[in-house]
Amino acid sequence: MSTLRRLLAVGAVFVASFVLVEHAGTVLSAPRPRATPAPAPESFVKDQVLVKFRPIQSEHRLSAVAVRGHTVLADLDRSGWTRINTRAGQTVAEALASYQGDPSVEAVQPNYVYRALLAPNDPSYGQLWGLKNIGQTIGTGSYAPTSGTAGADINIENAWDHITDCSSVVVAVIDSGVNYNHEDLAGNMWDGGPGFPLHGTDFVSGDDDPMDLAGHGTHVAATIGAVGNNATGTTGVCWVARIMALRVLDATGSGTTAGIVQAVNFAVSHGAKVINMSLGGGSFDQAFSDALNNARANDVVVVVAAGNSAFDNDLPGGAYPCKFTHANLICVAALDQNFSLATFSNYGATSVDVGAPGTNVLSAVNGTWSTITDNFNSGGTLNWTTSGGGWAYRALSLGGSPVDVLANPTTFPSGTYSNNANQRAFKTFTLGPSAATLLSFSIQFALQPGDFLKLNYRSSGGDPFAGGVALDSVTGFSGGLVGSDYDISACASPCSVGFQLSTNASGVDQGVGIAFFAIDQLTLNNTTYDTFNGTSMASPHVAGLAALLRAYNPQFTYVDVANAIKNGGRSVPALAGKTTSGRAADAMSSLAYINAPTALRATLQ
Amino acid sequence: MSLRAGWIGGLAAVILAASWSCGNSQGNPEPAPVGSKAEGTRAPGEYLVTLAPQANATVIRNLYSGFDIRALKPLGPNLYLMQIANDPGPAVIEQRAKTSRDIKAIQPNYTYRNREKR
Repeated sequence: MSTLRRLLAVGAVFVASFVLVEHAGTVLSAPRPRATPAPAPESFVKDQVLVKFRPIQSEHRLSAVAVRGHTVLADLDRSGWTRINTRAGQTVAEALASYQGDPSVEAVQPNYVYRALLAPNDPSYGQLWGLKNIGQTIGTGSYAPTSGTAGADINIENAWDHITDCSSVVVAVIDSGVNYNHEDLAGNMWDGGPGFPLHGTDFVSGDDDPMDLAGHGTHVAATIGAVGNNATGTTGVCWVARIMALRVLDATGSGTTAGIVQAVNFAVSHGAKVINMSLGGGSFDQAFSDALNNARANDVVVVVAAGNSAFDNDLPGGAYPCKFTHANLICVAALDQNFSLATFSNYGATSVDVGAPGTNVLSAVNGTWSTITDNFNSGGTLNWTTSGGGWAYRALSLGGSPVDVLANPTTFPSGTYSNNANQRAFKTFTLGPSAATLLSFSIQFALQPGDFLKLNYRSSGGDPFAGGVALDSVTGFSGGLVGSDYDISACASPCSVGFQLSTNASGVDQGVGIAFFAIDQLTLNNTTYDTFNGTSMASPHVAGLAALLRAYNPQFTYVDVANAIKNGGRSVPALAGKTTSGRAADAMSSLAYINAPTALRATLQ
Repeated sequence: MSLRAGWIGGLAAVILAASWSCGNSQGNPEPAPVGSKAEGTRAPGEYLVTLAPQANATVIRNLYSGFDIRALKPLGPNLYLMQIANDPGPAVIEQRAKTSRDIKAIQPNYTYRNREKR
């Protein structure tokens, strides 16, 4: 029996006689000691009671004790309480009852047992400010501040005193997959049986391997359920968990309704009772909504991220799924280490429910990334292969800083490009073995209708527009600098990447500038951790709490869980008027909310 | 992002509110993400079709054959992912759906991204 449940039992039996003054450090005072039923047996010393005598002479006190076959062990300083050893074979309840009606006794109570709050032995636990904030500095943090306010956390240690094992509840992580081999997750993955031996499934590639090729899903999963107290890495909100990995986001972190709908329905039909989705988009989506209805009909709690645009989700253009109104949906904003709303976090007085730690969150990731960057020049001269002219290297100013740019025309952003152009620029890169290879760059463009900038790659190098693979094509106006990622994992080394400006006979415009070109390669490993920011990181704190609550109270419905999280949270000024509850997730308070404390409090005159 | 003003296929939705200038340091704010309105994107040529209970996929093939259906993938009971080569845009696709009682709903296959703040 957990301590909380023990206290409930104790409170229930003593309610007719005593006043329960406080929870931790329970003291029962008895103006008129009466016979009472026995408290639960594990929460106090079995052969001792504490007695507070009214002012009487010492010999009278000793006599009162001796006549009951008891012995005085010690006086508790000047408090008036005496620690007494009971008679052999006598229960504590019987001992307590023996003092009933004694006019020399002011109060009597069991000698309760207290324990240090439960903390895991994981070596990086001290960096998990969201679980235990002592004002520590997060050494790998990138969001300022990197230190904060002691106590600004989800108050999990008190909850861990009652429950750490959520394994009775399957938690589906609908994300970029999970590195199910990670040292801190392997023991907490869902057993999908022979049908799903890799602990989930993959709706991106259409196979049963939900290995994470982005890193995001692993991070989320480990915040929910990294194996706790295993002297390794971090710990999750749940020390023991069952994480179902459902891959819907590709290596670039992008996915679609189709995958998400399938994943939600899979989670529901395979027994998940909590779903975390740290993802979002900007449109109402009926199919997504229908899937959430299915989850609700099957009593599944769905926890989602509010979004990172510092945007009021209540307004038109608010982010989904956060903006959905399903009763089983809990939308989470990000708090920083002072429990201020993170500067990037979306919010919404009617759409966002609670806040949770979302900055400088350390957790497991899928591996390590190596990066090849390219600045298009050697000594100020373009070092990409070109054909058809038009392309040049330029050092331009962006926000006052010089930026290396692959430009067309050569005078970009002044001047215009040529009509009837077929102008190519490409470069060949030597790549190492990797689980995933991503291409990223930023681009600014202004192209007339019928004029296109095309992006291709080609395995084994050479002109990617001669036998290569088309990645993308653009026309029109970017309206600024646009960043993008592409999965080029299929490009065998040496891999060439190129841009082609293809224009027709009419109309010219400003052209194209490309910057911040990089190729990132993933090497999977099972021992890496990293520190991320985002409402993506806030959501799994709450999903983990939802699992904890359901594990603690298996009979609870999604309504009970949502109420406990929203109403049992801690009031945070930064969330007032920004969320439906004005509260931050608070694990212990949510546990206490479930176990309504009314039966623990009574005052008798 | 529309076909006329953006990457036609799969462009991620991170837009930086900045532009280049030549040789001076004035007037350009630091790059910053725009609001979530910019995130309302869809996978080009992809639609989710919900059929009426008694209908089957033949309805979809017949109705949209003129748009060169590349794939029709079942996602669940009466729900299909339709991929077409010649995408006229959601308005045309949705209008055509209204002509059939066998199609309960149709919508773009919207895109989503993770919520990590980079």
